[in-house]
Amino acid sequence: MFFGPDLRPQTAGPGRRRRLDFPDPTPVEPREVTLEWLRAAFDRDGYVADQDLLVAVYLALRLEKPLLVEGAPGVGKTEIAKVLGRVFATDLIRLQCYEGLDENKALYEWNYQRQLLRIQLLREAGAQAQESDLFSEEYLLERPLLKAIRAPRRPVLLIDEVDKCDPEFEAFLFEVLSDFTVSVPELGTLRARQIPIVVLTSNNERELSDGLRRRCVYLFIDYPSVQKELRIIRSRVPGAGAKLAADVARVVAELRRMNLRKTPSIAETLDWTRALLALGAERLDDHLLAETATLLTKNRDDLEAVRSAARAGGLVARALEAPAEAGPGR
Amino acid sequence: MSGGVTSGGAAPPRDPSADEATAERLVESLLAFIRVLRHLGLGVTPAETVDALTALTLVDLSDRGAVRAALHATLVKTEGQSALFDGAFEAFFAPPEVREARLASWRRARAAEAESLSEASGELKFQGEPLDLSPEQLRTYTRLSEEDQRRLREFLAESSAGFNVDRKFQPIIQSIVRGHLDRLRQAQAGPPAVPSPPPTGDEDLDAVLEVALEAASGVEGDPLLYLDMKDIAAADLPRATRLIRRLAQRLATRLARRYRRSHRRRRPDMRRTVRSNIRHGGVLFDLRFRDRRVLRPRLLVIADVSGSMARYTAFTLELIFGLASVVRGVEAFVFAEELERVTDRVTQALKAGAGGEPAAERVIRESRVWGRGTELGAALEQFFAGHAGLLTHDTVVVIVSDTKTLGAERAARLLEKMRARTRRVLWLNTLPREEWPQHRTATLFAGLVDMHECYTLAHLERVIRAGLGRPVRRR
Repeated sequence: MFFGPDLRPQTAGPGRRRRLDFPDPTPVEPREVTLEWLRAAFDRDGYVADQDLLVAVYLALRLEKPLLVEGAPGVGKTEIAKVLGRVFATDLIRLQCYEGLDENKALYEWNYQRQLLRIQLLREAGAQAQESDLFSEEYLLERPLLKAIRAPRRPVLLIDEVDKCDPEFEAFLFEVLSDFTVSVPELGTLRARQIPIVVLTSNNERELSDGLRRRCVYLFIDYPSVQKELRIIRSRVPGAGAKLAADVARVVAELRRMNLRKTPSIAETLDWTRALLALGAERLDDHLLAETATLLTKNRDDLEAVRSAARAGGLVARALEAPAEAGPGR
Repeated sequence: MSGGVTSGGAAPPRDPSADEATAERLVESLLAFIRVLRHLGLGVTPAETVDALTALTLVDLSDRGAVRAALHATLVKTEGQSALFDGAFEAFFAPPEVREARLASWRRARAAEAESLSEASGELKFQGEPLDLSPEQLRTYTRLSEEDQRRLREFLAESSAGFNVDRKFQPIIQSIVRGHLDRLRQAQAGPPAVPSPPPTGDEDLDAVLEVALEAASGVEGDPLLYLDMKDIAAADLPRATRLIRRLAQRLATRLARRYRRSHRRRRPDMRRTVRSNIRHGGVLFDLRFRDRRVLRPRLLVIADVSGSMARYTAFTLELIFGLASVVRGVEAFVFAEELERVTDRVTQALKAGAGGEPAAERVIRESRVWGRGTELGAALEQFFAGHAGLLTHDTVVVIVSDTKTLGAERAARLLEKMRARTRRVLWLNTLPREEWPQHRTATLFAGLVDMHECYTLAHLERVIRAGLGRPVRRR
């Protein structure tokens, strides 16, 4: 086997995913999309979507409701928002949630330094500062939520890992998402010019409140079936040969049945396929799996488990024999 | 479900009265379907009903997959409800002949069951009079083995015929039989995946519900999750061990989280502000704020390893190992009549690698207290005497025990003291919740600390997901 550096152009990677042989679609108002248009748009973007996913996204757009996406890490939750941003050629505004995230960081803050400079300048010029001058929009620092509300074009607002934020913030978020108005005491109430496309993702680490769930259109993304994963690989790593892609999809499905601590997700599958491609592999065997298992596993125990299973032999053969229609394993 | 709405668009113009009739049928069947979902435990609100209806007008109604996906997206709100929804959808939107056949077979099954119950009631008689037993108890009887049924009948026959026995004894005999059947029912109960809803009186609906539940019960997670942990077979132990460890790690990350209050504004730190603004000529230009240092809570595990808990040993140990493998500095104690610190042995075992069975065995082998009687009070007293320093306002205490202990008053007093000194005390009780009222200690301790029922892995998961949003301090 040849393990030299890979000199072929790397086909995968963000930004290059968009296939250029399709003409850009006529821009459509998100509120007026059709299911067919959406399917074609996702296809064009290289995001392999099944009907459940498309219908959920479609309904979220048509009903103008937030889309709540749940699923294991790495199955493509965040990617949905990115795809929507590209599909509607609009801004993606991202709010990454974490413990301790508060309104200041999510909504707005006053630019204190700039206000102070202004006062200094005015004082030196011998003029008197008006309070209303200091609390004008000039001195307002927009944070993601306010930015989404005041955007001139309908943006995509991605609220990532909403389960990581504190319950208080979740309640606040719920309020903002229900009427899309924000009141800034010094400026008055700011109303959204148009309702942003909102995508919330959750890893299900904490139970979200019922209220927030009820506001949303719900989508759960499971690990893909072998066929779907194969389509994803072909779409995202076009350089991979048919045999290699099929092998990878089946072996990953087998690994998902192995009861690892962190089940490999689509993100890992794609990384692994790219690595195999870089190594010039055309098909999989146990030896190669053992060598490259670091890309599929995220901790030592899993790595050891996969390696020892591969070294014992037959793991790849077993995977290739397993019926292809076997559903997603856990 | 029929009607030819083109996908995504509005319906093509047609005869308005026909449209109206279709629309009405659509609303009716949607409402009936939502009724099924509500019986299955999905709380569907009117707002969601409206959403679902709007969603249906937006998809192609002749496309079954699209209709399913549209209803799924608007009516299902958690991962767990998905299987129930799928079962209900398949059962409800089945072709008429399938529904017809199902209804017929459902009626036959009901009739057969009614017959077997009346037969059972005829067999369980005291002095010729049938005992007053609930349908559930009669059903338990019909599920017993031939041998057990015969024994019960013989008991009744003998006690009926006993010397000097008359009608006065009927209540006593009746309550003996009832208690016996209730105990047997608990023993035969399998995984309590989804509680079956009470009959609705609508036969068609009941038949749909039954099929939906059956379809959902097959996929409701790993059966191991619902098994009482003391009953997990040796063959399943490695898998159970992995599950426990994974859950323990999640528990540890939840418990050991740092919390900072988000709604309170930061407090300026004058000293640092002045110092850093000297270069701006004393104008307070660059504000410095006082950071509240948030320490990671310390975890302290106190596990009951007395005789009554012996069968949960594997669980207890794996929980300790699991917690210790993610959070540094977990203090571990085991107790029965006395307290014993096992922190060092646990960390050594973890360092030696793999952990697992040999390490657990070693902890047991070197233990003085294993399998003795329980005296929580004495153990806690020992704890306060020797290790009181471990209790700080940053400590989270996890107690694993079935609450069966001597010296309840002393233990309660010390628990209260412990609660006052620590961030929270979490008690994982291996006793089923319905048995708590029968044990004075369980109710006593449950009033003092955060007690959760935890004898299956599903319980542990529930504790992690629901019970630990924020450290709650009682009163």
